[in-house]
Amino acid sequence: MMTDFLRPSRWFKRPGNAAPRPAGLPAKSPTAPESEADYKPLDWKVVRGILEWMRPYWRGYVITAITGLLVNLCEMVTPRYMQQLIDTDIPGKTPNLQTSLAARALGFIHPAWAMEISGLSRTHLGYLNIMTTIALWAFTMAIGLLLQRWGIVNTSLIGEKVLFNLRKRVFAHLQRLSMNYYDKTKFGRILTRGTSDIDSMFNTIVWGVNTLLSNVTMMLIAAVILIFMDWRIAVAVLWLGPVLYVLNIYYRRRVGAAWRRVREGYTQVSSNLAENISGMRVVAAFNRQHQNLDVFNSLQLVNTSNNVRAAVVNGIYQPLLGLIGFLGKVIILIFGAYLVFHTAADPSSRKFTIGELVAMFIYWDWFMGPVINFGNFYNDTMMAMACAERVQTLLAQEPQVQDSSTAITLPPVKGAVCFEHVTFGYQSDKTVLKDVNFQVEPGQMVALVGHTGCGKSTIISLICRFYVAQQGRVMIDGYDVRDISGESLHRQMGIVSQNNYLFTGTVMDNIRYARPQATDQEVYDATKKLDCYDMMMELKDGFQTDVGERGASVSLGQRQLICFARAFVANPRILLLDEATSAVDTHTELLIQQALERLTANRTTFVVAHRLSTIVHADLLLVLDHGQVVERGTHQSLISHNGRYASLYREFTRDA
Amino acid sequence: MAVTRRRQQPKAGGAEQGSTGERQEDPDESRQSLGSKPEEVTPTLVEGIPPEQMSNFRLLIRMFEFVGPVKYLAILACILVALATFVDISTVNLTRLVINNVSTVVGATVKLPVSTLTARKVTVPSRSKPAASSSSSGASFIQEIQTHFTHGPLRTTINLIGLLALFVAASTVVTFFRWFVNSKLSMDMVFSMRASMYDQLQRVGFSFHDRHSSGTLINRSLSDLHNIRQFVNMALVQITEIVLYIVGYNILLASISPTVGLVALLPIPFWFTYLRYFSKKAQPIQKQIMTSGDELTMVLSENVAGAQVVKAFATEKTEISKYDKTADRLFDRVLKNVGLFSNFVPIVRSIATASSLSLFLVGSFLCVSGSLKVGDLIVFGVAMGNILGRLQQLNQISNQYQTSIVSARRFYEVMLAQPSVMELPDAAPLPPGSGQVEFTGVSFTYSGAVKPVLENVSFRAAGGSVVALVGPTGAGKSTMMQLLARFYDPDQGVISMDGADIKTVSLSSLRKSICFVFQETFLFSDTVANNIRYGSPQATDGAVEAAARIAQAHDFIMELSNGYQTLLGERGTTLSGGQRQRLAIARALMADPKILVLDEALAAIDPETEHLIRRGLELVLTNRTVFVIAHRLSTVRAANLILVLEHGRLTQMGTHEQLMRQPGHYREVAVLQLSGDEPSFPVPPGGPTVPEVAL
Repeated sequence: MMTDFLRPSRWFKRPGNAAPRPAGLPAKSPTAPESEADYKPLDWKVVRGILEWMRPYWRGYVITAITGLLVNLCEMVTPRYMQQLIDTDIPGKTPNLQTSLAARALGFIHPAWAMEISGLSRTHLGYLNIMTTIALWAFTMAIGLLLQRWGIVNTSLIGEKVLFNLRKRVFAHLQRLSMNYYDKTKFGRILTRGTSDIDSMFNTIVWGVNTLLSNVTMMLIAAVILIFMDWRIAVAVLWLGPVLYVLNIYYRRRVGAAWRRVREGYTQVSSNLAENISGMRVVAAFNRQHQNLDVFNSLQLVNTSNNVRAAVVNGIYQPLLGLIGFLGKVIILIFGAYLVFHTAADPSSRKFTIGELVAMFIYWDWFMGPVINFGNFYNDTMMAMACAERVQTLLAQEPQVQDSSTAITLPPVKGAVCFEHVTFGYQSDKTVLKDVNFQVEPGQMVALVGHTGCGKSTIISLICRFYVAQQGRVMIDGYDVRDISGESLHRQMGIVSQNNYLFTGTVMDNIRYARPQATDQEVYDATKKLDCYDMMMELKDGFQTDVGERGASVSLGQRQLICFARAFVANPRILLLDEATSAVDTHTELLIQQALERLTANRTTFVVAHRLSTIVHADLLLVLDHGQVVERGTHQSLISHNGRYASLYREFTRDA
Repeated sequence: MAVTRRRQQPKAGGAEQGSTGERQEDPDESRQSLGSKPEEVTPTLVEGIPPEQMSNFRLLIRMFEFVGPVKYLAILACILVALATFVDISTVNLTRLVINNVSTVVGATVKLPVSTLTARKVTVPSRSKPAASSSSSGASFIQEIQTHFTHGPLRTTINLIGLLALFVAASTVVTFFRWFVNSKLSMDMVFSMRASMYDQLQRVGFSFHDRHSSGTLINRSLSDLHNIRQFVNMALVQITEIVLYIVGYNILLASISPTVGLVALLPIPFWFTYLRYFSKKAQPIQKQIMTSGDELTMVLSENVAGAQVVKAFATEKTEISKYDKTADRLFDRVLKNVGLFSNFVPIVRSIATASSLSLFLVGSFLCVSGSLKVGDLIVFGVAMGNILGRLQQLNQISNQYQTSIVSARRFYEVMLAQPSVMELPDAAPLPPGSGQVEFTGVSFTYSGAVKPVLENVSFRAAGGSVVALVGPTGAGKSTMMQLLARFYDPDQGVISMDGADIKTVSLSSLRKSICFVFQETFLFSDTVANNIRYGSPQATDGAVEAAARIAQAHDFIMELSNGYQTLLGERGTTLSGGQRQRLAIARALMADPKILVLDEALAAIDPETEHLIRRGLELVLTNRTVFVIAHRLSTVRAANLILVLEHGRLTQMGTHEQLMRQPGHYREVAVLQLSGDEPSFPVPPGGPTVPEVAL
């Protein structure tokens, strides 16, 4: 079909949200796909979910469908014009007045009168007829194209709105979800939900209704026209439709399996490459270059053979599908030619013209096209199903911790923290904290001591209400943290943790992250108090220095200090320091130590630290072992008690 | 118009990476955006001209160098394309002949005057009545068919249809081979491209990897390579196809009627001008969309990665509004793009329709005047559609060319970079020895940096000794060790091992004798056991376990779901920092090196476990030289030799006792830390006198 390459769906692509590129994330190929299901069979529940997303715009979708239908109708008239042209031309110098549009128009009721009325010769009438037909054809196409233009705008607008709403909804939902979701879900996966999963639904949500409807109507109309033009020929060819359909589905399945293999093989190639590049130092240090190249090439060989195999499947089926289409044409050609001959030999028989033959040819193409297109549509839909299901699962995920309906706003607190029989595990079968009890007075500094994995950071997370205790309760100034709103709680807390997370933006932006309304002066004052004002001013653009993706353009120590300043500007009542100083050199360490004293003054502070100097100054030491508080007291009292802490202390200070 | 068989053209090479066969028809834009901007690098080059100064033409020529090894396949592919084109156009032509043939019959038979026509109108049976039944007598009907079949136009028609079937069968076979050969061609090409890229990346040395982030390099080897490959393939196979089709159809048209052939050429300049104009207009918007899309992804990714911070500071609402604002900006740009396309599609289709219709108009006039036959009309539609469609593909290729040139520049930046460390042609293996190391006047500056990292460093470490390196971050400790393994070559000075200058020995023997445990532990996505035996793949399971026991890793490995066969990495179990370090230590032990370098290797391990590991190491590491870079005094003080590095200079050297007796960085830091803690620091019963000190 001449116009096939011009169908809008072929043209209309929008550059997608580039593949999610985890900014500065550790070794992982950005292009290596995830091992998640790509396709999913039709599932009514998922479909209902998708329809739910589309529902606010149902009027638009209806209009879109009608427009598409009209465009289709306009296009489907055109083979009739072709027929008209051919039949006008065919008998050489004797235009067939019987079917001539111009003749009919001129002759009003009977074409034979046309010549008499117009006074034109037969040839001239033929020319007139050709021009009329072409003009009508052009007019029909013009209407069709105008409608199409309007359709594109309308359809895209609605579809994109749905997609963007979905994006926003996913993001907002992610903000609601608790830390436990982030713990157990890989970064890449979460990112995929908000990016490529939604992008993959583009074809279905934006063009799906249109594609489905226009293909179905195109096929139906073509079939009906074929039957009306000559039902015998129609019967002779239409049975090929179901055959083609079955073969196409079968082919999709086989080629789908082949592509899946290709993708898997490619993933292996790309992740091997990515891993090797990221681990280049280790590769060089262990002298593995030759071996690695061999491994890589063997993966490449697999990839090659997978690709060639997929190509062979395509190479077999594609011509086969074409062959069936062609078979239909041959049938039309033979049958049609016979009928034309028959008409010519026996004028009294039912008339069949070459024009009709050609028109049937084109309609047959139009009947067949959608069958093949269905394959694509089916693929897109299956893919969208898989993505939609994942997004729906995410949206259905209830946050583990959420404000109760009766949550109250926490008034400004003094900072008393109390754990009452708190038992907690990240997974319910593995308890991390067992029956933890303690009481902290406002303004106290508490140090949590114990081996890695004994539950120190978990206590911090529970105070933050990142998680809620399975048993017992966490109280702040006498309020159970479950009864207050998360926002009001977090507004009075500051946390500095070991991962020193910074957002893209300037140093200034980051320091006032928690309190955007803080003035520049307040930020300067904060950094001066933390003795790091000069250090910030020494940066390339001072406080306006861009910290880069995840703070990559500032040093580890500077990042740490920015985090301290951020917590300081937030002016929290309760300050939580989770191994905040583990990765800095001596100079920065000293700076931080001094800053800490100012930062912790008049605030309740919890510290998880490896440094003795921090621990010994604490008002209260909680010694944890396997999730239980085994000792508590000040440094002095615990040393003289000569229990667990004293032995830990000895370990800390052991001489080699 | 009617006859072309629409079939998917086998797309050379687009094969892999796409999710389905159809999808790869799109030159996946996302891939383009993955490539990051070329950074400022001045790699040393094997050839005279650095890639950033190469002319586009040179790059274009260079891109085809990978065709060399597969040139016979490439030629075969082109021959197949030519064949397919010929068969395809012939099919159209044959259909035309069939129709023409039929029309001659009709044209010859219908010589009825108008009066007969009107008269017939009355006698013609209703349309739906089957032809067979309307035939007056069965016998005459059969006779009639027989005459038609044995001679006359029906015979010719049947012959032509038979020929047509033959051509279609041929095209089926050709198509099959095209898929096969194209895929093979493309895969073989990409195979050698990837292999040489991989090899080059492994050989090019650390200084290159320092300048380029791993993300950039991964993008280069995946997406840039993909772009180049796709373009070369397109340029080879598709351009041949396009040219042949355009020329072929023009010839066919001209042979039917020169007038029509000329008319068919008319829309081409308009068509092409408009396509170019549109590409130029669309590109900036597409780029904007890409940028906005990246921004949006960035906000999302930051929020996912920093979820804890967002929650801790209760900034969820701010973040949501930030995201919404970014999304709205993207939406606006997408709408702009929609507007552009909504004009583009109708305009392009109008041009195509107008050209086809004018061909029909001219053709029909010629038909009526008798110089053409109706079958010819059918060819016009098909030909016009093909010519314009192929031209549009040409435009796509020229867009692809822009992308591929950028990609090629980056690709050759990597491929032409000279390895920073080269082996001498007559390099001998490292002589046997106890692992004695000597630095003599070693200075080193990282390429691109102004300040030297090491300045005139000289020391000598006896074989089998433990050497500790201390000093502030950035003093050059790690660099020193990397020089020892020849990851870089010093600018001045000589490093020798067991008496041999390391520049004269073979790289593999040198690196086999040194093992590193880095602070940042990199493990591969493989089983625990295979990670441990990474440096010595033939090691037995028993040996692996023994190494794991020394590194205090055995116990936690046994707690993993599949013990030593547990998969690590992206799709496997995630380990804690301390666990990873212990595996890295086991891996290093497994490689059985002469020299072991522990680069802050114990930082993430708690003191108790560290103590156990050290005791284990002491047992194994007899007769090995150990270099330790550490902050903990407890680790450092047992060393036979302590080297204090400050700003790239070796300022102090000696044992702990010696260094504590002399003024300098070592004592300063120790005392500074000690005095900070001392006042409230009672000596615990039976405890040591020196607390943990960060050095």
